Amino acid sequence: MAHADGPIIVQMDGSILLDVHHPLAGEARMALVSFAELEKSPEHFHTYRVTALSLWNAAAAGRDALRIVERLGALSRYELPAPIVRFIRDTMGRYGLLELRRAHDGLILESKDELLLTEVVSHKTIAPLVREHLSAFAVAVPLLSRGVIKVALTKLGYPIRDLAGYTEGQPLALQLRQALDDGSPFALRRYQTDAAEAFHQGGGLEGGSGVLTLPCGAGKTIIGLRAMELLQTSTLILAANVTAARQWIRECCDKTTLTEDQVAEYSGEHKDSAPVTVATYQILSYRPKGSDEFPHLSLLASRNWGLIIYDEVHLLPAPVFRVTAEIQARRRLGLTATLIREDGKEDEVFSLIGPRKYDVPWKDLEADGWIATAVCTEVRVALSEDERREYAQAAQREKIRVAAEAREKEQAVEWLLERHRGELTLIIGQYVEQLERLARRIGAPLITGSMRQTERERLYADFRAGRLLTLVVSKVANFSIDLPDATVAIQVSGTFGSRQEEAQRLGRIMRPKKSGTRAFFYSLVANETRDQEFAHSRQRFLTEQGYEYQIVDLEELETGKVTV
Amino acid sequence: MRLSIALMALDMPELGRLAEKLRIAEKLPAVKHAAAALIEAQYATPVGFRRIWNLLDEYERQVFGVTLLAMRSDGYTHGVARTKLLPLLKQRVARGRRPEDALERLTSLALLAPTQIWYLGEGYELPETIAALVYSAILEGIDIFVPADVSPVVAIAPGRELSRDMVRLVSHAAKTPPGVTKSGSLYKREIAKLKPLLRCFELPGFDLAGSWEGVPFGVYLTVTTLQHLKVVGLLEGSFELYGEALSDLLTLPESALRDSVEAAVQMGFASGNVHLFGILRLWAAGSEPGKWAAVIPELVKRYANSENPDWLANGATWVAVMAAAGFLEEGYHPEYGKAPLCRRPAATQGTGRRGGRWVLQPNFDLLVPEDAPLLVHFMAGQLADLVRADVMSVYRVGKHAVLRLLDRGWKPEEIEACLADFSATELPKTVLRTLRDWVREYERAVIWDAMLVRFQSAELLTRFATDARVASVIVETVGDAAAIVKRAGEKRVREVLADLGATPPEAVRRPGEEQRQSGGERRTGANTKANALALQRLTGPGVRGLARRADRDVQEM
Repeated sequence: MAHADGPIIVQMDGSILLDVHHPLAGEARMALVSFAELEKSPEHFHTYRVTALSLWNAAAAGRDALRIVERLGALSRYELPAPIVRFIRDTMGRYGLLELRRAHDGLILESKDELLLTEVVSHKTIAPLVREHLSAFAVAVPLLSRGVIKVALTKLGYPIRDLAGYTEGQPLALQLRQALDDGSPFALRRYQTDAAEAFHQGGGLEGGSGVLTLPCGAGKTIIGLRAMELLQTSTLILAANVTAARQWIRECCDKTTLTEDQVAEYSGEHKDSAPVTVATYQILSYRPKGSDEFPHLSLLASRNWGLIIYDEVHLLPAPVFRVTAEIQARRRLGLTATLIREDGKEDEVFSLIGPRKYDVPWKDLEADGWIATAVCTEVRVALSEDERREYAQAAQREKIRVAAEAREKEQAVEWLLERHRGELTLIIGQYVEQLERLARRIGAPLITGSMRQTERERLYADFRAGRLLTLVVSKVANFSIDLPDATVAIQVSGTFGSRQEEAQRLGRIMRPKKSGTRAFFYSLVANETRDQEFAHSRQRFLTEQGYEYQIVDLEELETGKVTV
Repeated sequence: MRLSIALMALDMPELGRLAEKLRIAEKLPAVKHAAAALIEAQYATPVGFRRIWNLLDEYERQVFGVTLLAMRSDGYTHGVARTKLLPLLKQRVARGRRPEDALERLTSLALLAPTQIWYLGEGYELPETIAALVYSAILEGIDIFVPADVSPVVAIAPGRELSRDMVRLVSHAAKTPPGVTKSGSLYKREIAKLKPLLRCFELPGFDLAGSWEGVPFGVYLTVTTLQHLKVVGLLEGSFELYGEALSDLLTLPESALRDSVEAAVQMGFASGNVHLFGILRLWAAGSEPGKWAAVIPELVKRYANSENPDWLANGATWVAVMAAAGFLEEGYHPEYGKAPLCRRPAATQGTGRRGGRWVLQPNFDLLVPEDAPLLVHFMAGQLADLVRADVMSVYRVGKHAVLRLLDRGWKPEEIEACLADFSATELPKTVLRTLRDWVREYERAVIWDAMLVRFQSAELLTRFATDARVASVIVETVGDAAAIVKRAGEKRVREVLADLGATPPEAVRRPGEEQRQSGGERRTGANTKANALALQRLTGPGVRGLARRADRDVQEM
């Protein structure tokens, strides 16, 4: 029953507003994360949304529709809209109406609802896969169609409960270390243990496949290692790029008892295979010109993998999706900071990798000190007279470049480096020419896509070790680069290409700081130009993500009128 | 028909019998019209009416109920033809007695008045004077509350407020008036633009006919209610907003506003089964909020002999429309089949934690709770663009909305102050900074409305420019063969040019490559000076004063 002063407001479109200043806001947030997706988290009201997928994720985690409705009703400021109540009941009621089990020589698709089974098996996407009608309540389907059926039924609105089990992979003994090489103690954080356990579920049929969503900097790699330890089996790890892949290899060797010869890299440079192999999405989705084949996808079937880890699962490319559909008998763990995919294929992640098994709001981790508190600052610079003239006369596309490369930005970078003297600082940009100029001016090395991987690794290593305080990077550094102590990021140019890109750039500085200091994310913006329009989108996005955001003029900073 | 007229149709002995029952026989005058007046005075009181009502037996009450519910309005009378009524009574009322006798007795008691129905001949009406007393008696005769388990009740979208939909629509119309057809409806192309404004957009099963055909019922209801309140006029192809009436509406206290809107909605029910609507209205006015009631199902059970009467659909329509307007909630219960249940909304929608204020978020979303005062909703529509109407409506503060306010005479500090006046939280500094950035762009370049006169020779320009008659009209000369002149001075410019032997063409030319300016700034159609002034005040910075006053009134209530 609604009460006039509840912390949440349930809207007719399925969005739920949470009043974060309400005394019961914490309790409400805990309730909401279990069945709704967090969409925006600006200062006063956070927006969650119940979607079919969020509800199926909840159902897969064993939550009950009636309890959810009851809980919503108890927390809601107003009466719950009847269509939303119906949507929750109907949607969650459909999860698990169909089950997939293992048979002697294939799979059995079954349901207690005879009519439902008749309806789905006569659908054009399922009918060709039916091998035999075993009874009014069960049909036989081929082993290899497991993934295809799961995707098709999710699209039909009847997500399946997959109880067909897993193939046990080649055994592999490994343990997480108690202490690192430098002698410092190593232990899992509580939420990392919980996340791994939520995935594993004691080794039962309900566990073993799913996605864990944790914010950048929360230590998803460590959770992956813990999952490997729980399963004690050979593992294939798919990473977003070579740098990230090598980071995985480094972590495997540093934090587990695995030796270097037990961990291999499968990338454009190396094609090695070992009980733990780390491959990149890039190499798996590579195909020679004019060929229909993806030659490296065979890696997925080349060994008896007991676990496949999909790092940054929101980036999983289409060819890997297709092969994943064929290896549903392997345990699968997806790791990501966000389930939002720019291509909208969230339902395929749900069907093929598995439902979301664990989610922890970044605010909670920030409050506990596990990720850094970030302050986002937009620093406005002015165009010089010459630049203004060039900007005015430039074609539309060229204007963006002129604004992005404003000379005063270099002055701003110098000022900010001075302000953060002694702190590890990343300077990120889009235009290589500008970055080269900047690198020369401040005397810092520059990493771009054209730099050899070994050289990149060396620079990252120097940066991590504190031998280098400033690094200038192009967009190659957007994803999965672990630079634990970077506290400052200065974005000199960028067109707000996507929400993901922005979140990932910010994510580079979110690792908790040894010194406990805050992280600073600066965006340099040329006043009264197209740059400002992009900055407006960035401002909206970052405030919606809940970050503190401020706008200052460089002049104000230099004259000390404002401080950051 | 008044009761006095019904009484005058009786003869003196019948009046005498009525007087006796009313216990005023000893005072009854001998003159018929005086006797009728005395009886009416007594009859139309609760005590007097009860004395007459108690004379009826169960059969007569049932005949009366069926007759009453079968009465329809034909534009002149609210009645039922005898030829139509008698078969109905024979079908619906318990057999064994003649309904004609019951009708005769009801007429002799002046509970029914004989009348003539167009094309159908003799019929019956209810004397209006005693209508409310009759409705009350009918309601007493049925068990209107859902007796047992209410858990199977399926509620249909509760909590909408038509008044908020109306205000969102007028706030939008004050910026961009919707296109109106010559027959006084809205163009179909406007419908998609209005959809985000209205929480009640469609009402399933309500298909409009005539000029409103194809328009969603929610749009029709909102616009026609505004018309009934004289806030809006759809005349000769234009959407007219009447500023004075709008101003009055926006500053009404909440209870008066509800009464006013409800009365306007009821005007849509001026025809049909008017007594059924009257019974339902009376029930709605006195019912306990939050408690489901089966008024219509119980009326059906009591007076329709378990069959679906033709008035059932009209009753369901009334409930659905009242629910769509936020005065009732509609529900269904398996026990009662298709007949709707209804209840008055429980009073959960107080001003809550935020005191009916809006919240401006750092991402430029302006959140306005449904229970915020009307004027707050109106101003939100002026300050920002609506994204979605809901229990918490979402607006987005954007550059265009801010520049539009500056166009209407708002000063930047007034915009900020207005945002702050009605904000439940401190305004985000980054939003204010961005607002100032937008404002800074305003007036850096200004488009002026003027006329350019081109001359064939510099000599002609010199002669023109030195004519004293156009000295105050010329803004400036451009080069040696053109001058910019004020548009208002066109007549004088033409005179002087004609005198100089250079009579210009009648048509004012436009640069060929430019399109004719579209109607973005079309007049909002206020048709009197007072209306125009009132509307100007509402859409300009002056609205803050009005809002503060209205807000004070709300807070003091």
